[in-house]
This record gives sequence, structure tokens and C-alpha cells, in this order.
Amino acid sequence: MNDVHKPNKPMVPRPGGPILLLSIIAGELILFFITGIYEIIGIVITTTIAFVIGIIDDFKIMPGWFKPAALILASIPLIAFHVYENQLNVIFGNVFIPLLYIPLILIAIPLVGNTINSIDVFNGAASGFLIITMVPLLLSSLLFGNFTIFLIELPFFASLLGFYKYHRHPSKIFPGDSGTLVMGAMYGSFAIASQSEIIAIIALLPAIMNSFLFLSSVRKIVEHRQIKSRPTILKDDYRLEASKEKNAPITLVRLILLDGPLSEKQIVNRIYKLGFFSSCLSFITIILQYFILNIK
Amino acid sequence: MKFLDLRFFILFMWALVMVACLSIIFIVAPISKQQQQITQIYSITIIQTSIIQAILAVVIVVALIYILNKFKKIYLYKKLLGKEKG
Repeated sequence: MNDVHKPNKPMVPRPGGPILLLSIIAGELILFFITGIYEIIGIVITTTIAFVIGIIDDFKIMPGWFKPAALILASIPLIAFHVYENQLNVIFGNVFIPLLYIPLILIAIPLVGNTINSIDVFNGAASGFLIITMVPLLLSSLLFGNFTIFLIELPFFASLLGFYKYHRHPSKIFPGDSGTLVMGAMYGSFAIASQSEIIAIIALLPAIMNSFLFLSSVRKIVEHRQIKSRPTILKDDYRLEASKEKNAPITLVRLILLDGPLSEKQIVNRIYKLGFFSSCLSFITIILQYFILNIK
Repeated sequence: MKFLDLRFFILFMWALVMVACLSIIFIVAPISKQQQQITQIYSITIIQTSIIQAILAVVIVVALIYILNKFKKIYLYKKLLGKEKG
């Protein structure tokens, strides 16, 4: 597809989801045959279902409800393989919710999948942002989850690093919906498996803020391609500026651009900086939780 | 960090998440701890206590979304006003 934010609109291959999924599955299956941890299979099936949903959306424009609704299906293997504890870690302690945790999983995977999908607006934004926000999740898994979950996260982190090399500005590949849903489903699964749900939410705050602003301004679940008023305007010098239209949806990028026009690369760097900031807040929360656990 | 900085918005959201965690610990968690006692005294099932927990959790989340929505309106108003003055 055309990269519309660059001069001459060069063609860029899409979707990168299949190659991302293959690299993750290869790493995870090797780990499974070495360790025999069955949680790996649950997480891999969840990610594969998310990929199938994404690839359908890549080749056929589906209605806005399709991805969130279909991603509920992707959550089921996490429940079937019991890739969760019966308690929610809420920093200041744990809450035992054996029945409530199941609907939480059914909500979490669609939410994280769509949140990551919604931030994939520029070259390298989704993969770079996720690499930054994976670091607190890795640390939290090591401290509060268990070592095996930390090991399962490593092939995903390595695949993301490899993918970023080609996705970063100027992109040589676009992940497409299949790629972003694979990233989101995997991230959500790890947050659940490592009992780091709140740490993950904090790390993803810029992306959550983007989804919140978008939904509260559009007031319905809608496919972004169906929005008539765009939140940003591409200028002749290929910089972007915030739309002045009242009906245009409010997004994170539109807020970034309220300070003045920026190039695509500058916007992506701002998103990374926000990701770094929210990751720092995650680290503060991890330290807080660590001290609370030690006091107890 | 200025009020209109996007990091301030994220910091506010983080504070809300922390408030939600504290609310869950002080309101929802005690129900889990006393679940056995409650079940014996009032003869209610684990499903019923889970429903009570779910309702409380939903109330907490809705209250926080409401606060965030109010904050968003103030933030956007000040941001757009600042831009017009600029």
C-alpha cells in the first residue's frame, strides 16, 4: 500500500503480520519443546486467533464492531489452558476473584488488541512503542510473576526488535491489522499470565488515552477508515497539522499537533517519549509494589 | 511539567489507576477475604458474592471514567484556549 505521508507516496509491503507471527511461533515452540510449559500453547493459540481476525480485516474492510467482538474468541484459549491466577494483583495487594477473573480476560484481550491497533498510525509507532512498554512488563514478570513467564516473553520481545528494524521510519513494511492484533493479543496475554495487569495498563497509558479520546469524541465503535473528518491534515511540505474541524475525532496525534505542525518522524518520536514516560511511571509502581510486598 | 503538557494528562490517569487500585483493595478485596464467613452467615453462594464484587468494580470504573471525562473537557478547553491566545 502507499505510504501517504512521504513524497511520491512510495509503495510499502503490507501486512507484516504473517512474518511477525511466524517468528514468534518459532521462538515459542522451541521454548515449549525445551521446557514443556503448557501455558505457551494457550498464548500461541490466542495470538494465532488474533492474527486470523487481523488478516481478515487486512483484506476485507469489516465493520467497527468486528475486531472487538471477534477478539473475545481469541481470549478463550487463555481460559482453557488456565494461563492465569485466580487473583488480581492491584499493587497494594491481591484480590481473590476466581469467577470474576474470567470475564476480565474476555474484556482484556479485545481492549489491548484494539488499543495497540489504534496507535499504529505512523512508521514504527506501534512496534517502537510496544518495545518501550515491554521493558516494565519484563521486569514485573521477573519480580512478581514467575521465571517461566519471563522466559515466554523473551521470544516476543526479540521478534518485536527484529520487526522494528523494518517497521521504523522510513518503513520497509507495515504490520497491518494482523500485525498489530498479534502484538496486542500477546502483550495482553503476558500481562495476565505474569499477574502484571496494572503495570501493563500504566505502561500503555498513552495508547489507552488515544482510544479514550477517540471513543469519547466519536461516541461509537467505528472503523477508523470510515471516519469522514480526519484528525490531522497533511501539508504540502509533508508535515502534519491538527485539523480545525469540529467534527474531527480527538486523538493523541491531534493533541500532539496542537503545539504546531510536525513531520511524521517528529510525531513518532513524541509518541516514543510518552511511552518512555508511562514506562517510568510503571517502574515507580513496580518499586512501590516491591516495597509493599516486603513490608507485608 | 505544565498543565497543558500531555505528560500531565498521563500522570493524572496514573493517579486515577492508583485510586482505583486502592478502592479495590479497601472495598472489593474484603468481600473475598470474608467470603467464607459471609457464605455461612447469610447462606449466599460464591456466584452471588462475585456479582456483588462485579457491581462494586463496575461502579468504581464508571466513577473513574466520569472523572477522567471531566478532566478531559477542562484539559481540552485550556489547551484550545492556550492555542488561540498563542
